[in-house]
Amino acid sequence: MDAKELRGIKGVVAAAALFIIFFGVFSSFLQLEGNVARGISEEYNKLAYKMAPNNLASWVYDYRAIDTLLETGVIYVGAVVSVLVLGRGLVRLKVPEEDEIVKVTGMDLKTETMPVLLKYFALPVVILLIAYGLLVVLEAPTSGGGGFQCGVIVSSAYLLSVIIYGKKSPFEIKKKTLVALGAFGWGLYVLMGLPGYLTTGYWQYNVGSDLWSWLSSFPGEVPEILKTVFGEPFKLALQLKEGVFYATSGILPIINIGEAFNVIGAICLIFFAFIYGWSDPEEEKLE
Amino acid sequence: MNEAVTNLWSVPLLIIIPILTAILVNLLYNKTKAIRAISVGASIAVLAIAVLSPYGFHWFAGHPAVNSDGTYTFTASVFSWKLSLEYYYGPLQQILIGLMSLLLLFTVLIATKSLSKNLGPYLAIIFLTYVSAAAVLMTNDFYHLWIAVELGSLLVAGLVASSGTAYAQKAALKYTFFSALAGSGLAISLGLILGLTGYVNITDAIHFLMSNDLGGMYAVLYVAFAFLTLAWVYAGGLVPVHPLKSDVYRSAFPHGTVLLQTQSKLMLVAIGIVMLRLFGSLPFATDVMLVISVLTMIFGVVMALIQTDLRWILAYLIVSHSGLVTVGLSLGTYRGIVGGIFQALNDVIYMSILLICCEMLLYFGKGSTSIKFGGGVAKKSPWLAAFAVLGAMAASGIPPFNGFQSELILLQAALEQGLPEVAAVILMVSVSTFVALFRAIYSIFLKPEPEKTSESYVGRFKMPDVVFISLVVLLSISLILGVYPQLAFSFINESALKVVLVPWVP
Amino acid sequence: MMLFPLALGEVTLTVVAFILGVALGTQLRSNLSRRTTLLILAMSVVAAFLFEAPIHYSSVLGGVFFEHITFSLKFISATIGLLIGKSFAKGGIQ
Repeated sequence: MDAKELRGIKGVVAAAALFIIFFGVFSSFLQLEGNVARGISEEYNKLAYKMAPNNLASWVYDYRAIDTLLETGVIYVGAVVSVLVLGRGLVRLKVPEEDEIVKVTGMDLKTETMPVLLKYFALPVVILLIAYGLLVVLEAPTSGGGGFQCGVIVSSAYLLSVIIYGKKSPFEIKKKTLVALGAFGWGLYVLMGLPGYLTTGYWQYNVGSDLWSWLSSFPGEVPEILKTVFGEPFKLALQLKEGVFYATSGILPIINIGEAFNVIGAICLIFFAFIYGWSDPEEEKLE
Repeated sequence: MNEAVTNLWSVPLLIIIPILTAILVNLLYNKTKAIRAISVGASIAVLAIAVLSPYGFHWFAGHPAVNSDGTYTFTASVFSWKLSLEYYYGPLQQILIGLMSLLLLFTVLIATKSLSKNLGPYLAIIFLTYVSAAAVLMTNDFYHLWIAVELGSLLVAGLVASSGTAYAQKAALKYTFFSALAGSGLAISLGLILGLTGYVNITDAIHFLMSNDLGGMYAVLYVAFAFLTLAWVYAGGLVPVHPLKSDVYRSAFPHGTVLLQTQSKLMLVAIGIVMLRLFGSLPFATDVMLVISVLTMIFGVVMALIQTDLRWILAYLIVSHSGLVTVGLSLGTYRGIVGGIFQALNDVIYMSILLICCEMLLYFGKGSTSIKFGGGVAKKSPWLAAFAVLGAMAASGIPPFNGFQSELILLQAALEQGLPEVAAVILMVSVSTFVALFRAIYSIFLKPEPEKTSESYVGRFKMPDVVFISLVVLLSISLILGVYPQLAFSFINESALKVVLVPWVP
Repeated sequence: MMLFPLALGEVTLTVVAFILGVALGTQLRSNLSRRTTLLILAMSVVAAFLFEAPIHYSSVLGGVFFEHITFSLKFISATIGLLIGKSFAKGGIQ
């Protein structure tokens, strides 16, 4: 929209609407200040550390796991849709149509002017960035971090590599690999719900940490083998003021890895499509 | 049917099977046969699950609810705070999701039949659209509602953009741009409700609001209502955004629009019910909803009357009939809610019939559905013409089809509330729908073909079997519901009663 | 709790970091001189010292050597994994 269009009556209406919205939101926030009901969050605080030392991780990936599953889906869909607009998987009716398909070509990258110093230094940085991404995803259950962040860090390493070295970059992932990474990541996340579903009937029940089997009303039972496989490898001793507690994050680290792969695949795929454009193999043969 | 069960087996499958299918077909990309087999299998599976499933709750991640004395329980009850995210699968969900699964099956069948290569991403988007609508219908949680709506609006853009034309991409971009507003509006609304009550579970939040005095905080509740209304308007394409939504309906392939309109109507019903449950007792809340709905009906149908292309006419009629759905809901009475939900159900069915006919027309007419088509289709494909005429009759509320039944209930509900003006508008929509549709149908199907035509029109049009079967199935459902509406009422009544009498129960 | 002296939870993620490093390393195509490799390793040790081990870790295997001197072994093992994975990849640029 042009700035000119906003003058006159349209602009007045827009300004008035914005003012009303601002007033509404702001006054509600003012009213809520100091009056926020704590509700369910108290319960979460009481329970969260039993899952993973990092409260946030146990909320996001355990208590609200299906939310995060669909959020991961948002990233995945974002990649599919963006790349679709750029050419992957455009569909046509098998009859001639009125409108023409829009063609998108890749970017014109010129890296000859990049200083040699940068070219020397960029590859170590890329490698360290990927390592940092892996650190961030693996520390999710114990400290800040998680799959989203890891994915973003690794894809920024990918972008850095392309910017410095051009289209023939050392960190070059093939498009099929990228699609497969995304699919593997989201698929892993989805399938991590299966062990809990099969043994207790609850999708995404954390069989590793198995918080609730002691309750008599809990339906089903998690077999020892599942507890061991998903729980033991991630067991930690927490030395708190109250004493030493043993906590295991169970399936959370695996879910995080799935999430990370999904985000790496998705965001790198978007970068890929913008930089190289998209052409399908059959079409290449035809041309 | 045990309703208190909290680990109902069917609910996760309804979400997970389409997601896995989407991942798989996106990965397969151009292997058309495998994609067709997998996606048809998956849609049959979800249809079967939706039909066979008993009713109950599913608490994802398997965390219990907290009783007021601090103990934990795994039995569904209104008076305990849920730690997990809650989905509810009841009769309303069953009939709506069952119908959507049926339409998913038809959409997949037609898409794999009529589209050329590299189907993977397109079908992935179709399956995820199904997921988003199913999640919105089943969830009993604000936060999840938000995510599902966000996901849904992104998918709408994808489904539209996949045809790759400049026009479609423009429509998709505009829609995404505005849906970002709706998404953040919904987020603000959920944030305010969370701040007020401390619960994201809708049942718990209502429970809290009913048992605690908010004092001077009612203004906050109104702001939350306003933002939720914004999201409702965007998700369903109601009045200020109806041009965007009709662009979207027009630009997608007609079989894609079948699913798009299903998604948006189910979202209208689901979010509308949430609004009624939470804000139904607020003064003016239903009035605002009613005004939006009436305006939508009028604008949609007026725009439909001046179009000259069947695709555009359908796009605007879908928007206008969304208004019919929401009018019922926003009356807020038992009869109104039944009428609204029933209208959504019927609407989805007869619009699907018309859209599939429109798709066939695209085939036969070299990509054109303009009313300058030339006419004479009835002679070449009498079946198609018959379906189109019958579908149009259902859409304009002519007995014995289903549209008549729901519009009748809506009329009664409006009159019961002492709103003869609204009843008049409903009648007007019905009549104008008839005019708009039959103007197009006459000139495309029934008008004799002019003497001079290009050779490509010679001969009869052969409809694919898949299309024929889906049209027959949909039309017979339309007839059955028209003759025997009690069939649908048995699913809808209970939910409508709950919304009116015990809004905290999902 | 017999497993605990092994500090399984503290070691596992280091191993996973190595495996993921190898997996992502196979996507790197370039020839590194020995000097650059050593530089990367040295930098990773420095970075590991800066990142520190999570506060819940207590054993040497988790990277806690003394009270306030802790290393993020995951980072080092991920870097080594990347370098090893890179050596599997064919072809090189530069």
